[in-house]
Amino acid sequence: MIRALGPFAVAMLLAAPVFPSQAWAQQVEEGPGGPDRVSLTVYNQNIALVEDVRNLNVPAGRSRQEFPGVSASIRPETVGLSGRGLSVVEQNFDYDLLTPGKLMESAVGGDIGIVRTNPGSGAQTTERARVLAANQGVVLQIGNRIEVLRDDGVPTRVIFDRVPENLRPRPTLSVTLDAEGAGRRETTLSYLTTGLTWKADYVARFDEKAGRLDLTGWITITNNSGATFSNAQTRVVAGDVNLINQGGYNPRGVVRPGQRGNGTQTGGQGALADVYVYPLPEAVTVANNQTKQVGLIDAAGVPATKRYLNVIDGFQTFEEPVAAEVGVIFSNGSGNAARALPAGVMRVYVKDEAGEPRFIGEDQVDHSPAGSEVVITTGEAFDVTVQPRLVSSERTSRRLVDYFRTRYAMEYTVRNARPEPVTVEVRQRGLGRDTELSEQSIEGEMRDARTVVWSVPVPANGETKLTATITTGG
Amino acid sequence: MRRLLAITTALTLLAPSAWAQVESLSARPDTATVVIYRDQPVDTVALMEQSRQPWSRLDQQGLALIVETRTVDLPAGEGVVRFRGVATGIVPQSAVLEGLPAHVVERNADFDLLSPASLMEKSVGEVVRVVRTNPATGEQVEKAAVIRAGAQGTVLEIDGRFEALDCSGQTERVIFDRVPEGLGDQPVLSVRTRAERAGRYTVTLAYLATGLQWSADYVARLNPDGRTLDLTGWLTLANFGGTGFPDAPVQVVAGTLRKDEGTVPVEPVVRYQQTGCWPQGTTTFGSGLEPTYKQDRMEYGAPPPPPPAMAARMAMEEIVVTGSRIARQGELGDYKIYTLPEPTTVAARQTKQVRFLEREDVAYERVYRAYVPNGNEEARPMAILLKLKNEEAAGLGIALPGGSVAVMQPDGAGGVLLAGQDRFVDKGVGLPVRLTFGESPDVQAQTRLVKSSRATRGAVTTKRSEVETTVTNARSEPVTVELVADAAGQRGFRLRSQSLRSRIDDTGYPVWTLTVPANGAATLSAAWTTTD
Repeated sequence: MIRALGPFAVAMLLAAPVFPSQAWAQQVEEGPGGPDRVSLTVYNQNIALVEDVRNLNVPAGRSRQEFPGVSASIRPETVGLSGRGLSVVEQNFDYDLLTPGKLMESAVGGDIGIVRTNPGSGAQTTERARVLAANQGVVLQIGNRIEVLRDDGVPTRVIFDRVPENLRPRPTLSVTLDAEGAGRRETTLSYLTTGLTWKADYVARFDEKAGRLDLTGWITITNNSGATFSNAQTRVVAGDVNLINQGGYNPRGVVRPGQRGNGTQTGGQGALADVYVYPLPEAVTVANNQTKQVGLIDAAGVPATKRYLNVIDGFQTFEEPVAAEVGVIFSNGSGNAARALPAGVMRVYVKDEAGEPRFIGEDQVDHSPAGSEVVITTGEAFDVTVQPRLVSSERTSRRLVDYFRTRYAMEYTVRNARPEPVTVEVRQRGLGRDTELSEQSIEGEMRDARTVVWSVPVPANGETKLTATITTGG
Repeated sequence: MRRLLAITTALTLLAPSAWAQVESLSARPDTATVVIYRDQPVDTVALMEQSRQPWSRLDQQGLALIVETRTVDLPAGEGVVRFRGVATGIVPQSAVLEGLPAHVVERNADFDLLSPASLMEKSVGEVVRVVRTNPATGEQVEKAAVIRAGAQGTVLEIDGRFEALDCSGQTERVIFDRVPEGLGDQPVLSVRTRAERAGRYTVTLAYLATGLQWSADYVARLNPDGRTLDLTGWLTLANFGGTGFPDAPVQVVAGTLRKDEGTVPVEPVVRYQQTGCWPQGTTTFGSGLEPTYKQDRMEYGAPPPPPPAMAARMAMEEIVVTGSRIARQGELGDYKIYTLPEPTTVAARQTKQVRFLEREDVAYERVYRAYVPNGNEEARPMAILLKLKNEEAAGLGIALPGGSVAVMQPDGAGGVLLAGQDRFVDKGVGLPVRLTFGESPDVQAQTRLVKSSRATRGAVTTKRSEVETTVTNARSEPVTVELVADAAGQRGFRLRSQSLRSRIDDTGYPVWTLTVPANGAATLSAAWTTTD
């Protein structure tokens, strides 16, 4: 308790002679106010492991120890306690909070002091009263009179002699211990808490002409747990661990953002149990209701390219041209960028005509092992568009089994209003079985059984018509 | 007393990191540049409509980059630099700080706000003073007290016994000696630094913020010649946030930019004091009718309801039109960036309009368009279409950010009429722009199914339709009409015969173009097959 108040408050306390020591004797018995040392392991999924080390003076045999200062979002079922010669008999997480109402409820049947102030004379009368009930109003027995508290509206203070032990200002964890021998010992309390999460935030300064980007990354920890962890040895874990009771449906095989080609290099950081662990370089104070950022990566001159991409689903005519997606592609496989990148958001900046860095868009990055090719889609190009046209579609055979087999003649008008030539990746999706490509004006490539990809060069301020015949399905 | 001091000093030494830091404050930016983006099309009218709804959270929508220069006093050694006066919609994790010659150990954004409830809640266990005023004599009694419970009704420990605050009916107040650490009037951004030397530096603080939006709107005035129009483009800037940017260089970026869902400002945590006394009913008044709050768990960090007063104020208070100068267009990556002609003040809860485009004698073509169905159809009014080409030869050839167009036409008496409105998406140079506004009762199309047949070979069924479409024109001038076969997208569509040759237009469909004489009619006959 004393430590939690901080030196300033302690000094004030000690310097306040009006203050009786009696109240504090009781407090000290409750145990220390907070942990001596904390280490935090924060995961991406709104959960954190707290290891809380306290130097406790434990009497021999059974005793109840309280641990104020644990996270209010603690998951009590995950609490573990270890210490020399200690075994846990039971643990309780009390969240019966001390409020005036609770205080009065707990005084029912007991005695309280009341102080009435005479509104006319200002004289104060003190009496003892027994609380008979506290339903809707408080009914008191004073001597042999039965009265309702403040029935006449006269200011009446109620003075309680004690606070019931189970009522606390904040949710509190208490553990009943069985100890071998008395004495001080280091006790480690570990638990999981929600309300703490982290992700990575990256800034990529992209120089299109030089084909490079400078990457800066930050670990962003957000603490809404209700507790402040002072001087905590903190580490963050990248990679999703399996959790139950988290709500939501997380199917396998969902398309993950911003990555193509999984890296296969070992990625610089401590890879532990198939997740990556990033210890922060020094102890930090993770305050409640705070977003904290600590540097993660700083890599300059990473080779990067720009890509225009249009994905077209199905075979149809578009009345309006569709803007191409602009993506920045780089690999975290070489130089000082050769390390795993934890999941987060990457914000891309380019220089404007005046040389000032300007934001151009942001995208999510998945956990990317070193050597991955990372794709950041920043937005849509103003000047590069694709307009598909279904020239014709025909059945290829009269057989019923080939009912759905169709030969599509497609024409894609790729336009470029930029003053330099560009290459646009046109992806036609929605292919069926036995796809055959013919009469292509540019040789396409089957990206997978359902997707064909063409790289279409478009001259500056010009357009290219890509034509292809696709026979598929059935 | 000397011993006390020693203890204090010893404790201070125990926690050096918390106490040895020197704090420095940057109260406000010296200059700020505002760059406003769009991550989706913005409709000015819908935006203004939304801003009048008290529940709208426009302060959380939109996106802007704020680039501030600030003068910072960097402390030597361990220090903390706080940045106050950042935009209310700041997304703290997006902040980029440049120009500070120090190692940045960490950056923090604290969003616990100072309120009576948070003051009480964070002071649990602290020593405060309670002042009671005797209602008759006016005598004030001050007592030291320890706060034993906070925001859900305060319980004080006074002289070893316990009392509730504000339940006695007496005049009571609590005096705190200090504000608990981490509570402020607004979310505060800070960096923990480690520098060799102290010094004063000019730094750049750039961050993303929500609450700012922009939209483009056009006015097209049709000239009496019937072939050209004058096009004016306006940018509307709207600041729904609580921070104004005085005399700021302002840029807007055209093009759809990718924004992550998580890029939203932190909701400052405001705790609300709950009335927490024991039941206050008496024999004569309010027995049981007053609500009693029995809430066991304290809610941490729950999003607070928007303060009603602020939401009501959200409605735009001022609209400023600055039409004298024109915004200049430049390039930014694959976007177009418009720089306002001079630094302007983007005040909180204000919209501002600036002209960005002014073109005269832009060529256009007015046509009427309809789909030809596969069956019979009664006479129907045809859609009115204005076709423009975004090309220099046609008087344009300039990036056109998507927005609404109001088409004005001369009323023949020297005034103008609103002919209609339409919207279009971003149009780069070289793209066709098609504006549809309304239907003309004067130009109608009627279709007759002349013959329908069907043939089956193997498992292939071929359907043949022969139609005749008649367009009537009640106007006193000839009109151009475009007809498109509805079936053109179906499998195996093939034209078998046509009275007029069709051509593929810029929509990608085969189109028959007819000229219908004044007060006359024209007919198209066509036959096509589809296979199934």
